[in-house]
Amino acid sequence: MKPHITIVIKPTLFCNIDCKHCYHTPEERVKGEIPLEKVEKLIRMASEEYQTAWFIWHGGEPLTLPMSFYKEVIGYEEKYFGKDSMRYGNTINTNGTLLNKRLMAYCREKKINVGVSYEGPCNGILRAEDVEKTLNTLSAKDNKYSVGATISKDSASRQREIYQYFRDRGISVSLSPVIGAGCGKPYVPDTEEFVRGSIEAYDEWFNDNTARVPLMPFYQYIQNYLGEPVPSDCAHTSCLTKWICMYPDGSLYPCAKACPKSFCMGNIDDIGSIAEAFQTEGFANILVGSIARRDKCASCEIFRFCNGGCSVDACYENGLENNGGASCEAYKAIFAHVSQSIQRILDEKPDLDGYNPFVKEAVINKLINPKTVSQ
Amino acid sequence: MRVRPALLLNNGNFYAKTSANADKVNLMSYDAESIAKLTAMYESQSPNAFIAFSMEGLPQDNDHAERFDKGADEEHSELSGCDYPCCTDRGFCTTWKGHLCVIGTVVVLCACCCYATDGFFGNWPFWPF
Repeated sequence: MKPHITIVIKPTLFCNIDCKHCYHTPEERVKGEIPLEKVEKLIRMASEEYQTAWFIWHGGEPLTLPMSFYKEVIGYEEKYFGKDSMRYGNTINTNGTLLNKRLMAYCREKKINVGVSYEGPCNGILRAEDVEKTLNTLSAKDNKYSVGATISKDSASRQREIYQYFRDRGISVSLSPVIGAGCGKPYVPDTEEFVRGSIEAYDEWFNDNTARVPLMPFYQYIQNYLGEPVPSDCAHTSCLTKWICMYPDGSLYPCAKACPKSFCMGNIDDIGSIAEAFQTEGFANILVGSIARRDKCASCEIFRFCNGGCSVDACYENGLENNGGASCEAYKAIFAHVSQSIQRILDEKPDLDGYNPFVKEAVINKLINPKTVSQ
Repeated sequence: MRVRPALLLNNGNFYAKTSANADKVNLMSYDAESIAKLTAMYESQSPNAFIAFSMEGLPQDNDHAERFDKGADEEHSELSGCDYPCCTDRGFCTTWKGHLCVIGTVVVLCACCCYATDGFFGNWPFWPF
């Protein structure tokens, strides 16, 4: 059995709101739900081939499907992986507009993480709907959730403000730039401005000894630098073969982002195992280009941390087998800043009480755990 | 030593893709052995990323009270006012029995209070006890 796979399932591409930056085009975002048999087959195959699996319910807006759908699929997970077996977990990524208390209660009962797309003070730039009330309820009900804030060209310089907004509410937030696919092209932030804004937000978080929440992806960058990369940082942990995505029609892709059709790994109906999907021409296509790009990256001093970055991002920047695109440049600049700040702590060993608890814990773990001392 | 995939794969079409032609890539087919070699090559480029790959972020057990309405399945456009199964989204009782229970409870409580305070401290002169 292989150790772990992350499975993104898009039960529908339909969405009840029209975010301006969506990487699915309006023509793609039509009604149509994934048949339960396809989901059951994928869950069964995952349980047979992998020790653990993490399911991410994505879309479209996954909560346009009724709660009965999720009861069914969680039932399949319990059936094939074993109830309370700790071999599987779930995250629902939603725009938050259709979250209600019953669903929140169900997520608590089944230990489902909720990821809400929301930009706080910059809401309105990419989407009109405000879900602050929903977040308040999630917090009040002790649901496990975090917020994903998408950074556009109009909010690139306001990342610190976004972080402060969520920090004050005790909500974990992740800052991700718009990718130039689908409808997103006009909203992609300027790289320099994005880097500047990210570093401002990072510094604010880094020096805040009262911070109660991690700030993503910077906390992941710190863990990566300290020798403990986390799989959820998919762009920088060699994601191919570890992630798979299923669309409503059952077609399979190596990634949930806007994969070109040339990367399609067939249909769930036509394969007998997940391993078969990773032996298709579509998967070979993304492998060949990714290998070529990573070959060029090999001499870069941070390659061991970025592992060549995101193949789909590269695809929409300079081409799959070319590095040096916006995501590459941004990661280099931000990671350099993050790693310098951590290395300074490791070298100078200052009083860690001045730093935020997440940095403190990560550094202490690094100092006391010989396994991770490799710098 | 890394081998360029174009050299490894005689039957693989090494291509240059740009954002303009991301969906229009002309590719030849690969056999299973070639893909296995490609996968091995990909993994060899970043061996550390394939050594220890453990599941992270498993939900922790919690002991907060769960109030899950197992019968609820309808969609809602707004947050419901209450998530107990005996309540409607607007906070009213779902059945007439529920209404009777609430009214009965209020009457009994009022009677008890009236008894304990001797007619609400004399404000209700009709209190017989």
